[in-house]
Amino acid sequence: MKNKYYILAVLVLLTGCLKDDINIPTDIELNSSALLLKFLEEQGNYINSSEAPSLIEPAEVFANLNSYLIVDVRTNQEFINGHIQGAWNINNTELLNFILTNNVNSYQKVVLVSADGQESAYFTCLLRLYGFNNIFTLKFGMAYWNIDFAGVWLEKIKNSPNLHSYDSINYPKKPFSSLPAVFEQNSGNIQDLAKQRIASFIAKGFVDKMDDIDEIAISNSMYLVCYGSYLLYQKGHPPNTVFYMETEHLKSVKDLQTLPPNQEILIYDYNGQLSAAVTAYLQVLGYNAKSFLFGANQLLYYNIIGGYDTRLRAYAFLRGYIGNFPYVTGM
Amino acid sequence: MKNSIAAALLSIIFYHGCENVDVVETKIEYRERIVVSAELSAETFFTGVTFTRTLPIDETYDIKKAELKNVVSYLRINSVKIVPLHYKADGLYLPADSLVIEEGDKYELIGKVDGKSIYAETIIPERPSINNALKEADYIEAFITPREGEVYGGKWIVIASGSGDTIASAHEFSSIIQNSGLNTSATLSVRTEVIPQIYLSSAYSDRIFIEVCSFDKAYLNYYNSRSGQNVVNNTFIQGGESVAWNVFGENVIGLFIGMGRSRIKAQ
Repeated sequence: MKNKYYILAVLVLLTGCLKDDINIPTDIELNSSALLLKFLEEQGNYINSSEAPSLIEPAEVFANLNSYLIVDVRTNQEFINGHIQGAWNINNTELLNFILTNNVNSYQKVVLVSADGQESAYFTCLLRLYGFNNIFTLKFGMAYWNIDFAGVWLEKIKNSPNLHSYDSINYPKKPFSSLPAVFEQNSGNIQDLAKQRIASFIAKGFVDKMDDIDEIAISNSMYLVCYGSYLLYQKGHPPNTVFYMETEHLKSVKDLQTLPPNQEILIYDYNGQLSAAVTAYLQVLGYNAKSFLFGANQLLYYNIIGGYDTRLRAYAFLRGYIGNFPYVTGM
Repeated sequence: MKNSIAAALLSIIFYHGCENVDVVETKIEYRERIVVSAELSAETFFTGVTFTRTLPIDETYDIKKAELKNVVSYLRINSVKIVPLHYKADGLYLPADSLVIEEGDKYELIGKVDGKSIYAETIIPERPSINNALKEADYIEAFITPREGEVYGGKWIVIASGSGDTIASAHEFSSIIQNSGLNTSATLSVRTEVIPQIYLSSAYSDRIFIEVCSFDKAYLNYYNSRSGQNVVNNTFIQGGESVAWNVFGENVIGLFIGMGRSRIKAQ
C-alpha cells in the first residue's frame, strides 16, 4: 500500500511539473560582445547614421582655414611635398594622443587629411567611436585639394577587365551567427576595454585594405560585401557579392550578425571612403574586415559616370571637381 | 490513519513539487521589487521594455521615483541575434533602431541591475486564425483554429467610422483559453466580456469587432494566478499578490510576453 503512494507521488512530481519547461538561468553573465555593441550604439551608432563617413568638401576647408583644426595623417615626406597651410602632421601612432591633448572639442571641426580620403575616413570612424563627434575627412584627401596630388586617384579609376563576368544576382546573406568573441568574460569595464581596443586600431593604422577583388570573387575565399545603395549593387558586382544597404543593414536590429565571424570580409562601396569607415567599425566589433580600395571607382567607373542615370556620379572621383587650392611645402 | 497521512503527504508533495518558488510570490507585506514589463506583438514594432521598482503602498506613485535608469540589458533573438536596449525615459528601454517582432521567433531578455540578473523568454505566437465570429445577445464569440503552445483571449472593440481608430474596448478578457487536447485541428471558441448596452445599438453594428489575442502559454499561468482574476496594475506599482510572472531574478516580477492580434467583425 505504501509503495503505491510513493509511486503515485513520484508520478505526480514528474508529470505535474513538466509543463513549465523553461530552464531558468540563476546567474546570467552578460555577453561582453553584446556589451561592446551596446557601447558603440551609445556612442552615436555612427556607422548606421547618415553622418558616416563625414566627408567635408575642400572648398569648406579652405574657407575655414583659421577656424578648423587640420590634421594631416600622411607620411612626413608626403607632408613636406605639400600640405594645407596650418595643418599638423600627425602620424597614426600619435593621432589619438594628439586628439586627446589638444582640446579638439574647442574647434568647430577637426579635419583629417590623407592622400586619397580613405585612410582618414578609417581614422575618422575610430575617433567618432571613441567619442569625438567633430571629426571629419577631407573628401578624396589631397587628391581633391589640388591636381598636383590627384595622381593617386587618377591612376585607379577604371572599369575592371573582368566587368563582363559581373552580374546583378541578389546573393543571399549568410544565416545569423554569434557576434565575434572580443573580450574575456568579466575582463573589466566595457567602456575602458572598448576605448583601449579603438586606440589599438588607430595605432595599428589603416592596413586592412585590398586592391584586387576579382580573383577573390572567383576563388570565393572571402565574404564579399557591397555596402551602399541598391542602385550601386544593380550596376553590376563581382560574383558572390552580397548586398548590405548603407545605414540600414548593419544595424543590430537588422542583418549585422549575418556577417560571418570566422571568415575574412571584403567590403566595397562607391569610392572606398565609406567602406574604410565600415571596416573600422567591424574590426572593433571583432570581425576580420578589409576595405577594397577606391571602391566601385576602380571596378565600374565608366558605368557610374556614364549613361542617363547620373545618381551615382556624386560618388565618383571627377577630374573636373579637383580643386586648385594653394598648398605649402616643407615642414 | 496511515492512509490519511499518506494522502496528506501526497497533497503536500503535489503542491510543493509543482510550486515554482522563483515564480509565485505569496508574501503580502511590502518588499521592494524590480518590475519588468514588455509586450511583444507579432509583426509590429517593438515598443520596449520598462524597468521600474515597486514603491511602498503608502507612497504616491511617481514614475520618476520608480524608474530604473541603470539597467544593462539586451534582447537575444533565436539564441543568436543580439539587440542592445538603451534607456530612453521613464524606465523605458528601446533598441537603437526600430525592431519588428517576428512570428515564431524566440525572444530572450537578458539584463543586470545592481549586480542582479534579470531573465525572461517568450515565443511570439502567430496572429490568431479566426474562422468566423457570431454576435450573440450581449457578447461576441469567435471561432479560431488553435495552435500548439498558444493561449487565446478575446475583447470587443468599437472603431470610429471614419478613421477606423479604436474608440472603446473591453478592459479585460472574459477568459484565457487553450486547446484542451493535442488535436490542433479542432476549433476553439473565444468570447468577449459583456458588451455595454450603448454599443449594442444598431448605430454601432458595423463598427463592433472581436479582437482575438494569441499569447505565449506563459500568459495563462499569469492570468489564472491573479487574485480573483483582476487586473494587476496595482501589483505592478506596489508589488505583492500571488501572481505567476515569467520574468526571473532575485526580487524581480513582471511579464515579458509574446502575443499576436487579429480582429473580425461579428456576423
